[in-house]
Amino acid sequence: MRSVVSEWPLVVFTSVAPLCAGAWIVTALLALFDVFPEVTLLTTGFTGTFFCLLLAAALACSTLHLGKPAAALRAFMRLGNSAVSNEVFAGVLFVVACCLYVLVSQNLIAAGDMWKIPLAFVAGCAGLFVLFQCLAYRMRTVPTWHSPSFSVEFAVIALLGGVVAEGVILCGGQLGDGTVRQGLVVAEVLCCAAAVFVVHAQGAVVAKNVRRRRDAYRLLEQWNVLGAVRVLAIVAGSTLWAFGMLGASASLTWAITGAALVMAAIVAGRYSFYRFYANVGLPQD
Amino acid sequence: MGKQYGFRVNAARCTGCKTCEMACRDAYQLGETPSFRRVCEASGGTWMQEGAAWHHQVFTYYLSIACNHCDDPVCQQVCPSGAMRKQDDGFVVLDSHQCIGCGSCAFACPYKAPSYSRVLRVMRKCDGCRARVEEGRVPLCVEACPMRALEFGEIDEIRGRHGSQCDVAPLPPGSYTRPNIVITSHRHGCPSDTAQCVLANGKEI
Amino acid sequence: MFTSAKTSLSVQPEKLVDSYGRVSDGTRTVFGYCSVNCEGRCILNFHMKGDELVWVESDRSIDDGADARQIRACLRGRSIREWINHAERLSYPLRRVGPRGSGRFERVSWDEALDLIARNLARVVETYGNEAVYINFASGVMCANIMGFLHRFMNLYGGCLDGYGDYSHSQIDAALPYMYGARDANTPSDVRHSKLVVLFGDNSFETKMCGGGGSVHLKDALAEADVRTIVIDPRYSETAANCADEWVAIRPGTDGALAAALAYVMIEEGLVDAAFLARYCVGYDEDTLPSSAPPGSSYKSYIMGAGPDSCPKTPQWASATTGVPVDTIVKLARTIAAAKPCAICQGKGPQRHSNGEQTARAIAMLAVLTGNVGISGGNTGSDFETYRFFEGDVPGPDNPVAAAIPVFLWTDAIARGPQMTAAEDGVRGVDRLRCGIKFLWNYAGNTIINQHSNINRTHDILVDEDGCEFIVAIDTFLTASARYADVVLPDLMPVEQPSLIANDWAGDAGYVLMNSQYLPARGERRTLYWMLSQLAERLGFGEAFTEGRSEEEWRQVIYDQARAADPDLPPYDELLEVGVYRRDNPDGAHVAFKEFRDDPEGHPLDTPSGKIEVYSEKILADTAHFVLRDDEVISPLPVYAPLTFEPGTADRERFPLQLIGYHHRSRAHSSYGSLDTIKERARHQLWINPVDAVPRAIEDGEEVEVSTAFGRLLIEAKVTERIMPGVIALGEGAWHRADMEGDRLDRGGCINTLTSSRPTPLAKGNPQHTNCAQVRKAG
Ligand SMILES: Nc1nc2c(c(=O)[nH]1)N[C@H]1C(S)=C(S)[C@@H](COP(=O)(O)OP(=O)(O)OC[C@H]3O[C@@H](n4cnc5c(=O)[nH]c(N)nc54)[C@H](O)[C@@H]3O)O[C@H]1N2
Ligand SMILES: Nc1nc2c(c(=O)[nH]1)N[C@H]1C(S)=C(S)[C@@H](COP(=O)(O)OP(=O)(O)OC[C@H]3O[C@@H](n4cnc5c(=O)[nH]c(N)nc54)[C@H](O)[C@@H]3O)O[C@H]1N2
Ligand code: SF4
Ligand code: SF4
Ligand code: SF4
Ligand code: SF4
Ligand code: SF4
Ligand SMILES: [Mo]
Repeated sequence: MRSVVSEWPLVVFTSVAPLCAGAWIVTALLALFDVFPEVTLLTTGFTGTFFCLLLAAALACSTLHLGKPAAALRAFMRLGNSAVSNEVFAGVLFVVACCLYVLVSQNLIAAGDMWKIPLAFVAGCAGLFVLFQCLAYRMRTVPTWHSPSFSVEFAVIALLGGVVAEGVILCGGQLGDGTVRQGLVVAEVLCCAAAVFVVHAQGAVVAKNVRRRRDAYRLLEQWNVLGAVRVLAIVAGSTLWAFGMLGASASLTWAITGAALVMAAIVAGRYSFYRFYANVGLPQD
Repeated sequence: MGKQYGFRVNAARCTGCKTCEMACRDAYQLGETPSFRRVCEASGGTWMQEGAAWHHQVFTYYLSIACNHCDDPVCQQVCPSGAMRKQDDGFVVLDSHQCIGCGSCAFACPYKAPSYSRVLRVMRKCDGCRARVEEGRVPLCVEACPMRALEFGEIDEIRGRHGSQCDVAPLPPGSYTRPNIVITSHRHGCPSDTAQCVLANGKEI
Repeated sequence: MFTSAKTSLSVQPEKLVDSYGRVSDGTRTVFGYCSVNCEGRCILNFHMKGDELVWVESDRSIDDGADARQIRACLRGRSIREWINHAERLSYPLRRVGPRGSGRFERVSWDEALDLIARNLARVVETYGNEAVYINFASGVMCANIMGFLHRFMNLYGGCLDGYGDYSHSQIDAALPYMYGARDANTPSDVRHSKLVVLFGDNSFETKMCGGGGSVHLKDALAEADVRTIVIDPRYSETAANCADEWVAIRPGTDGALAAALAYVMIEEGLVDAAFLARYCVGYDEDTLPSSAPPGSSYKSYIMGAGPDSCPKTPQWASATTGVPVDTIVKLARTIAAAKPCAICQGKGPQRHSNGEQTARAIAMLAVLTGNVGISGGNTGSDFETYRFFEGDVPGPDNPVAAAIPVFLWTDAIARGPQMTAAEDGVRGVDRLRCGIKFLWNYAGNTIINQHSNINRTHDILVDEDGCEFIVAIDTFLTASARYADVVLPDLMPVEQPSLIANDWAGDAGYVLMNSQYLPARGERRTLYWMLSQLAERLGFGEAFTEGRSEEEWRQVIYDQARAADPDLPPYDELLEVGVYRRDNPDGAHVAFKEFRDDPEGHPLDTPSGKIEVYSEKILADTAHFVLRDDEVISPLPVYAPLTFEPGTADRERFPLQLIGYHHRSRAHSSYGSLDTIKERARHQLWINPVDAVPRAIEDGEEVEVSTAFGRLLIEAKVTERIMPGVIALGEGAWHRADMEGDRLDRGGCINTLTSSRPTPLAKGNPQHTNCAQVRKAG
C-alpha cells in the first residue's frame, strides 16, 4: 500500500471534480425537465462561474501528481489509449464546455429555449466524465479498484455531492419551494444510502484482498476506523443538511455545515481509495 | 510478430544475494531510482514448542524479478501517454521522454517493474538490456549472477527446456499479464495466492 | 589459456543505457579486482570515460561454463563505484585536535603528518623499546604486495610486538591440530561424491559469495549429484534456504552437546565405524587410550556415562540443552551413520564462541566416528578447504622481537601489558610482556573499534593517552577505528596502484590477478609504500627499506620470487597483459588426510601418536601451565563444554535472549558498510522470531533497542520465522555510530557494542557469537 501523501492532488481532484459534475447534472435535470426552471440561473453569474473555476482548479490540481505536469496534455491527446486518457479527455471536454456555456448562457437564455441544448450537452459531458472516471481505475491487476463498489463510488459521490451542493445554493439564494426541496432531500437520502452501502461493500473487498499481507490485520483496523468515520460523517452531514433545507428552521448555516461534513466523508473516501490499493502481485510501497 | 525473449529464474540456485540488482543499478546509473530488478524473499512456516525443544517447518526462497515483457502488458493498457509500448521484438519499452510520470503503470504492474525516478520525474523500467541483446549478448543481470540462477533467451526455447511455470508466490498467477518468465521452483516453492507464504522483505524491494 | 581482457569487449556502453541517464561513450576499460576480506577475490573491469569511472563489469576473461567459472563479483563489488567515489572518502592527511575518539581532526600537510609519526615512533622505541610497537590485526587489503611493507618497515626498524591467530578461526585453528595434527578439510567440489552433506554453522552461500568461489562450486557439486543436505544452525541461513533438505535449529554454542548425543545413538545402535576407530584413532575407547590417561577417560566412556561425570549423553539430555527434539536427534544420528560417504563440515560460526575450541573438536569427532576422514565424499568435520597455489609476500627480515600476543588481546596489551603472561594470556616468545603497547599501527583495519569486542571498553582504554600513546590509522574512510587515531592517512585502493592478488576460498579453482592500469589517484591519497618510504627516510633507513625500487618494481620482485618456486606461473609481463592466470587443482578436488587414510603407517599424522587423537595428551601438556577461570574447559577429549560468560553478564532475567553474530552480505565486515545503495536493499536488521517479538509488541520493520551487559544499540527488527525462538541475530560489521561522550547508544547497530572481550580458553580467541541480550521497542 503506498503512501497517499504523493497522491493528494488526486484525492482533491477526485473529490471536487465529481462534485462539480454532479452539480451540473442535477441542475440540468431539474432545469431540462422543467421541474424548476429558475435553476438555470445557477448556470450563470456567480454560481456558474464558481463551479467552472472549481472544476478548472480541480483539473489543474490533478496534474500536480504528475512527474511532468506540463506534459499532461499528452494524455489528453491520446483518447482511446487507456481509461485514464479517456477520463482526461472527458474532463477537459467538460471543463471547456461548461466554461463556454457560462460565458454565453446569459445571452442564450435571453434568446429563448435555445439554452437547453447546450446545457444538455454540458451535462452530457459531465456524465461522460463521471463514467470515464468510474472506469479510469479499473485495472484488472488491482482487485480493490477493479471492484464494482470502488468504481461506482465515483458516480455515487458525484450525485451525492451534486445534490448537496445544489441544496446549499438553494438555501443561499433562498430559492425553490417546499416540493423541490423535499425532492432534493429524498434524492439525497437515496444517495446517502447508496454511499453507506458502497462503504460497506468496499470493506468486504479490502478484507479479501489484504489477507495475503503480513500487516493485514493492521490495515484492516485502519480501514474499519476510516470506514466508520465515513459512514458517520455522511449520515450526520446529510441529517444536518436536510435540517437546513427543510421546514421553518431552514438555515444556510446548517446546510453548509452538513455539506462540509458530507464533503469530508467524500475526501476520506478518496483517501481510503488510494490508501487501500492492493495489487494482485508484489505490494507497492 | 518477431521474437519474444524472456527470463528464467532458477529459484533452486538463487541465494537472494542481489548482485543482479546491483549490477543493473550500477550500469544504468539508477542512483535514487528504485531498482529495475528486485529480489523477493518468500518465507513461511511456524514453530511449536515441546518441552525445551522446538519443532518447526520453516522455509525461505528467493525470486529475482524484473519486467517480464508480458504478452498482455497491463502497464501499456493503462498508460495515458503512450510511453509504454510493446515492441516488435517483444520487449515492453518505456520511452521516458514520452512519459508524463502519472504512475498508472506502477499501480497496475503486478511485478512492480516500473520504477519512478524522483529526480527525472518520470518512470523508468527494465528494457531487457535490449541494446546488448541486439548485439547478441545477454542482459547484464544475467551475466552478473554469481550463482547462475538467471537465464535469458527466446522464451519458447526456455519453455521447451524448463517448462512454463510462473505461478509462484509471491508473484500473481501468470494469467493476469502473461509474463515471459519461467520459474524453476525451489524445493519449498509455493503456488501463487497462497496464504502459507509471505513476501518477507517488503522494505528491500 | 589466456584470453585477452580487451578482446571480448563487445558492449558499447552508450548502448547500454535507456533513453534517460544515457551513459555516453566509454572508450577504455581498466582491469582490476575487489580485494576485501570476504573469502572471495573478484575480477572487475572498470569502464572509464576519460578519468571518470562510469560503470563496472565483472569477469569476461573467459566464457562461463560449469567446468570453468567466471570470477564474478558479488553485490558489493558491483557497487564499488559508489565506494571508490564516495564523498566521504579520505583525501588528505588528518591530525587529531579533540580528545581521542571525539572525531575532531584538522587537515595537515603530508610533511607535518609524517614528521609527527616519525617523531613519535622514534620516541616510543627509544623510551619503551620495540615491543611497545604493534601492528593491529587488519584485513581490509588482501593483496600480496601491499600490507607486508608495514612488517618489512618495522622489522627493519628493530621489530615490533607480534600477534598470532586472527578473528576468523583461531579456535578451530588451535583445536583441530590436537586431533589431526593439522586443520584440514576436503574442498567443496568433493561433495559430489557424498551421499549426505551435514553443515554445522556453515553459511557458504553468504560468506563465500564470489561467483568463482566457494559457494558456486559447492552449489554446482550439490546440484550435479543431487546430494541430500542438512544444515545445523540457529538461523535459517542463506545456506539453509538455498540447499537444506532439512534444517536443524540449534541453540548457539551447543553443537558439542548435539554431537555427543549423535555419538550416543550411533554407539548404542552399533552404527560407528569400529574398524576405522580401532585402526586410525587413539582414545575412542578404553582399549586405545594412551597410557597416561586414567581409566574411564575414553570418548566412549564419556558418551555412555562411564566417565567421571557419569552422565550418559542421551538424546533426552541433549534435547534440553540444544533445543533439538529427541526424535530429530535420533533420526539425524541414523541418517548420518547410514550415509556412506558423508561430508560433515563446520563453518566458523560454531567456533566463534566462548567454548569454540571444544565445539570445533566435538563436531569433527562425528566425522571420525563415522569413518569419513580421508576419503572422497567424506570430510574431517572442519571447514571446507580451498586450493591455493600462489603465496607471494613482501620480502623482509624476520621480526627481531620474540614476544607475541594473541591478536584478540591487543586491548589488554594496552591496558595491562606488563601483567600479561604466557600462563594467563597465551603470550608467546616470552613469559611476560615487558611493557604495554604504546604505538599502534592500523593499516586497512577497523578492528580498533568496530570489529573488536566490547566497543565501550575499548573506548575507555583508548581515551587514556598515557596508555597507548600514539595511533596511526591508514584507511580510505574515517572509520570508527580511525576516529581514535592521532594521525589519519588517506590511502589509495589496490585498484589505484600496482597490486597483485591470489584467490581466497575458491574451491578447487585457483588464480592470480594483477592490474596493469590504475584508477586515477585523487586528492592527496598516496600508497602505503610511499608513506613508509617517506618515514624510513626520516628515520634514517630509507635506502634499506626501498632498495631503490618503486611499487611496480617491488611487485615484480615478489612475483618473480613466487615464480622461482613455481615455474608454471606465466612470466610477469604476460600476466601483466592479461590480468588473470588460472590454474585449477590438478587433483580435481582436495581430500584431506587421504595419504594417512590410504597408508596410516607410511603417512602418519602430525600428532604425537601419528593417529587421530580422540584423546589428546598433547593438549594437556601444552596447556598444563595455563591458568583457567572456573568455568573454562580444555579437555583432552572432544567433550561438550557449555558456553561461559563474563561474571554477571548472563543474568537470564535481564538478558533472556541469546544473541549471535554472523557475516552479512551487505558488507565484508565493515568494508562497503557506508554504501546507501546496499544499505537500503540488503538491510541491516535484527532477526527475531515472532515467538519473542509478539510479547514485546515488536513488529516487522520497527526500530528496536538491543542491550547486553556491555552496551546498547538501535536497529530495525526483522520479525522472521528464520531464527530459532530465544535467539536473536545481528550481522557483524555495521558502522558504529554513538555519542561516546553522551549516552553511548549505538545508532549504527554495530554488534560489537554488545560483545564480550573475554578470550576463549585455548586459543585466546574471540567469543563474539556468545552473548546474552534483551530487546525492546525503541523509544
Ligand atoms: N558477506 C560476507 N562474507 C564474508 C565475510 C563478511 O564479512 N561478509 N567475512 C569473511 C571472513 S573474514 C570470515 S572469517 C568468514 C566467516 O565465516 P563464518 O564464521 O563461517 O561465518 P558466520 O556468519 O560467523 O557463521 C556461520 C554460521 O554459523 C552460525 N552460527 C553461529 N553460532 C552458531 C552455533 O553456535 N552453532 C551453529 N551450528 N551455528 C552457529 C551463524 O548463524 C552463521 O549462519 O566469512 C567470510 N565471508
Ligand atoms: N562481533 C563480531 N566481530 C567480528 C566478527 C564477527 O563475526 N563478529 N568477525 C571477525 C572477523 S572473522 C574478522 S576477519 C574481522 C575483520 O575485521 P577488519 O579486518 O577490521 O575488516 P574490515 O571491517 O573490513 O576493515 C577493513 C578496513 O580496511 C579499510 N579498507 C578497505 N580498503 C582499503 C584500502 O584500500 N586501503 C586502506 N588503507 N584501507 C582499506 C576499510 O575501510 C576498513 O576500515 O572482524 C572480526 N570481528
Ligand atoms: S544474482 Fe543470482 S543468486 Fe543473486 S539474487 Fe540475483 S538471481 Fe539470485
Ligand atoms: S512486468 Fe509489468 S511493466 Fe513489465 S510488461 Fe509486464 S505488466 Fe508491463
Ligand atoms: S508513468 Fe509514464 S509510462 Fe507509466 S503509465 Fe504514466 S505515462 Fe505511462
Ligand atoms: S535486463 Fe538489463 S535492464 Fe533489465 S533488469 Fe536486467 S540488467 Fe536491468
Ligand atoms: S566483496 Fe568479495 S565476493 Fe564480493 S566482489 Fe568483493 S571480493 Fe568478490
Ligand atoms: Mo575473518
